[in-house]
Amino acid sequence: MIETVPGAGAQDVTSAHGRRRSSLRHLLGYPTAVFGLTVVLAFVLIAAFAPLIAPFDPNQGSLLRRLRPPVPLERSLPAHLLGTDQLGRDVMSQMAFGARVSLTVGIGVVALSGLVGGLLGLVAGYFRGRTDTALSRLADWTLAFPYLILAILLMGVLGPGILNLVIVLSIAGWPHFFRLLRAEVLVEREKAYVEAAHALGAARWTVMFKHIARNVAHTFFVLATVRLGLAVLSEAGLSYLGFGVPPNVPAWGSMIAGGQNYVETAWWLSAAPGLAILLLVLSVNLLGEGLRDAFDPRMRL
Amino acid sequence: MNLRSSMRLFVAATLVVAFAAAGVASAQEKVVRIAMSGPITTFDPANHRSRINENVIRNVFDSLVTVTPAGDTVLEMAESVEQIDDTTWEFRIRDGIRFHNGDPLTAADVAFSFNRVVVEGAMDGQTSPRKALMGSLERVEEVDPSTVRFHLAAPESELRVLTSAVFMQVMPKDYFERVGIEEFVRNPVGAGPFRVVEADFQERIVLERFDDYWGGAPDLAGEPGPARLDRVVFLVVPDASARVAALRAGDIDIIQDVLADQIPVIESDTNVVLKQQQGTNPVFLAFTVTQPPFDDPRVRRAIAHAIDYDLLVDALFGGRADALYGLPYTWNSEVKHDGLEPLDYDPIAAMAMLRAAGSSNLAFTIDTISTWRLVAEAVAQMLQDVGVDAQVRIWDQAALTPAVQAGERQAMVFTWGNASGNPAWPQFPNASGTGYTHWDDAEFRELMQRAPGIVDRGEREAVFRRAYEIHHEQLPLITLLVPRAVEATSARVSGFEVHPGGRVNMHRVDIQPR
Amino acid sequence: MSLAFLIHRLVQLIVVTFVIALTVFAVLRLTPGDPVELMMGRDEAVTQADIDRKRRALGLDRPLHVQFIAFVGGLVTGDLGMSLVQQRPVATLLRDRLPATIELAVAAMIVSFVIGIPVGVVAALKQNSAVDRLIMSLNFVGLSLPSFWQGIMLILLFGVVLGWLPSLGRISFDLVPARITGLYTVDALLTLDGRALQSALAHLVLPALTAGTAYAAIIARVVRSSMLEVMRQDYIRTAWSKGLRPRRIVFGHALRNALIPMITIAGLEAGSLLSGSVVIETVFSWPGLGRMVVQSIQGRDYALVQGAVVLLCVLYVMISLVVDVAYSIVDPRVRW
Repeated sequence: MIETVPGAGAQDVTSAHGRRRSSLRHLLGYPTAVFGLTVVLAFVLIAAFAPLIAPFDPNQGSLLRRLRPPVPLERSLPAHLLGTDQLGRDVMSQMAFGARVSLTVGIGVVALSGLVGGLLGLVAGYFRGRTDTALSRLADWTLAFPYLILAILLMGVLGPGILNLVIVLSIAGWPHFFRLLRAEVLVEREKAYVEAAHALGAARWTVMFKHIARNVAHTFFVLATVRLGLAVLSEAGLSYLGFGVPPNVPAWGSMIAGGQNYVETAWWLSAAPGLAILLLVLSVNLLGEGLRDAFDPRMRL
Repeated sequence: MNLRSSMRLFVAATLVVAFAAAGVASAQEKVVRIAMSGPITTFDPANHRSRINENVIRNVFDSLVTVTPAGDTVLEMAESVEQIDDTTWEFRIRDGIRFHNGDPLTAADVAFSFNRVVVEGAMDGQTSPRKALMGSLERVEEVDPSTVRFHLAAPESELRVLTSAVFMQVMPKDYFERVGIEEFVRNPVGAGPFRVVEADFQERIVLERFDDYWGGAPDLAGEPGPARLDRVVFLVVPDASARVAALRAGDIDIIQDVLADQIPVIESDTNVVLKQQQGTNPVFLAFTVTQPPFDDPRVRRAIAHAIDYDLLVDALFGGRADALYGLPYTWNSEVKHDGLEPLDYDPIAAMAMLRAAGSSNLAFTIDTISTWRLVAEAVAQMLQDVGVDAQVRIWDQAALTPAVQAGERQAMVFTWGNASGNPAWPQFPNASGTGYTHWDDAEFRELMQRAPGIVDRGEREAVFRRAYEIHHEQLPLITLLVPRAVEATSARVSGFEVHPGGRVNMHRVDIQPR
Repeated sequence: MSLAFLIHRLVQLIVVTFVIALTVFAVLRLTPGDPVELMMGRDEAVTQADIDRKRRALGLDRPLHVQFIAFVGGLVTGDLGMSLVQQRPVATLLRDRLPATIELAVAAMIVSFVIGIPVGVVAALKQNSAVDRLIMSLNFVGLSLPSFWQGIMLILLFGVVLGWLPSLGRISFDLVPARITGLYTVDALLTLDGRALQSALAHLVLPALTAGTAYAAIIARVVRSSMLEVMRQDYIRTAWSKGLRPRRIVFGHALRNALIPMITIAGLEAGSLLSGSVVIETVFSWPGLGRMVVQSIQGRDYALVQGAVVLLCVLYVMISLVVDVAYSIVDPRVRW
């Protein structure tokens, strides 16, 4: 009923069955993808070790040291590499903890919506029939809502919080995985290897999870990177509007909102988190592009 | 000529005509655009307690008495005022004043407007939130078409009587009674210099000059007469930096609530003028004293010692504020009390006091509006230094006020103006119904009610001082500081002065053409 | 395309609208933090009696089905209740805001096509050259930019530092534009008001650019890849070899082929622009529906949230429907 992301339907996707094995090595042949992967991994490390990396408590500052610019600008303090905010809190520490929020929410959303949407897509595509109709209808209805507005409505009602963000963005995002997987499975289930497996007496669930799932995994991962980038952007947007994380949790989006009052006098407050979001999402997208090229250059998502 | 090229021709022609029209724009209108930090909620002069509402309303409705930017209380629509006896004051109203709809303004309108405020339940069963501003005014009586009498419950000084007359504007009785409150708020009619032409409460209010305006208070600077401006536009721009950016870009002509951090940027710009005046709006940390943990005065006192008042003034306001150290009066107050100890910053004592009160693991939320976010967050940070888990939550004023007044919050950072230096000030932010704290001390209440009526000055001041002492002992709210009123205008604006109470009266303001 | 198809789609529209209304209604009432609690905040200081009192005031103590019937009945008759904060009918408030959102979405769409199509064509014609690579890199940046941050940076650059463009609102505040359609640019053209037109266009530039960036990137990619696809086809090669002018080939054949995916993109874009309006309109103080959703949630103006969200969703669905219909017209292969 409602068209989704172009190509998330069946028409453009061809199977890459049999080409998978060389894919990972292949991926390393794409410098942009390697760059993307490296940066994403760096962000993951920063997030994981935020308490070690952050020189200060991100929520504690001193009014005596407020609004200091990053090193090496005039008035900067060596202890505060990226400067301090309007309450004298260390921007670098906030950035490190902000990476946690972005990645936790991003990965959490992809994991939850991918798991739910993917499983349901497998089931719907494999069994078809009434299950498929019902699930497809549910997916259509979810997609009938503008993504961010549904998210804001739900966050406004549930209140800010990281878990709430993951749940809300997954509710809004699962149909994309569902549609893709369903379409893929519809194609795969007609193929010879599935017939062969059935003929050899394999159980339906075995065929579904062992054979088909493996053959559609690569498309899943490519979509996952696209959705990861979107989830990070959505979280930042919600936090910017004040619907994301609670005020005492440093997130990049809320840092930008807080720094907006100082954009002329203390540009680093909004520049630093904005660049971080851009870099992270850009890297995720480059990685996704690399994965797509490596798996199947014709695949469109 | 085929369809496509004729379309092209049409578009091109339209654009040419349109831009030619731009060149011969009609004689330039004089418009002043004012940025407000939040939305207004009503046009009913009796049903609000916010400066933002008052700023707009005050340009649509005039009062009997007004306050000049210099802080002097002067007669506006009242021609004279005379004391009849201890508790009766007579105002004569000027002749020839008309409302926007052409109706003449008479004593009946004045009595109606004031009685709507001072009589309990006079607003469809509700009592006006402005009642507390009216002192002991009990009733206003229409004597003849141009004379009213103010009947007080207790004697008051002339200044206090005049001040209560400042706080309510005159509404047209007949029109109001004919159309009802809903229609009145949609299409308000006043006797002020401007009438409302367009209103989206959350976005913008457009006012237009009222040509038959009576002229305005003779004691205001500038010539009396209709407003100089053709239009006044009030715009909601919640973001402080956006206000400054819009002012500098020439999109806005007057901004209020300038953050101290933005002052250098404004001072460096020759197209705008920074204006400041010693402020009269104390910012305080108020507690809901009917709920734990703040029902315990020891906890409130401990908090007061955990706040570094001087640091707030220096770091957040660049020195453009006066620290109050918890004292319940300001620099302009009629009555001060040298015997009260300012509460000093002593975090170690604060921690010990919290322990003694059994509140070592105190955790609470400070609610505030975006204007006071920085102050609230700085206070929260200071409290965290003494082991108190204080978080700040930001609200829209419109959403927060009812919850606060219903006693549903724990602590809040807010402000309550005292432009007239009223020594009774401490009772207002604590008043039941309209205040923040729900603190109700019988002796304090009795003193505050009695003091204004005491004729002997020495005795009156002594009573006020005793009330201050109780407030200072109990600390239902901790006054933090008084920020200077910092506003900025386009250099083209003339006749606008910063009002100590932060009011934006456009009666005599003018603007140079670009 | 048959009449039956159209009727079918219209029935679907009604059903979906009903489902949306039901969902918004349910979300606002059944989730753990209900609107009243939300309005009151979350403190121990809130008593059950306070909550009950407010519930009654809002009519939320009536049985759910009664409330829902009242709400749906209101939707049909256009009576969406009163705004709690502004004390005005929700329908009036929405009507005043709708044109702003539409105008910005259309402008953003125009911006994205004006940038996206030529860029995509150039990239395709210069495939694998340095130009192509540069374009494709910028493309990724465009897709990865957080729009609210982009908006703030554009305001800083063009509004504050350079002072070239206004940074908030829809039109210079000293102009009170004629209200015919509510689209200021259109109204200014209709009344031949040059100043208003100039001002409205200037105010549109930054928000439209911000909202359109990501879509310009998507469009450029789609145009590039469909151009490349077409140019590999035999008939194009024949055309080249026959010496037809390149302009003819590019615009006559290749670009036409990109039309179908572009319609899909346009539809998606229009839908997503509505979604993104909440952020963009907030950054630029644009008085549209998106900002109203944010303001009303922040102001706990419950009836207004309900009305604004349902209206945005219905618009979104209607756009999808128009796209589907357009799709079936341009591509006869598509059947339902």
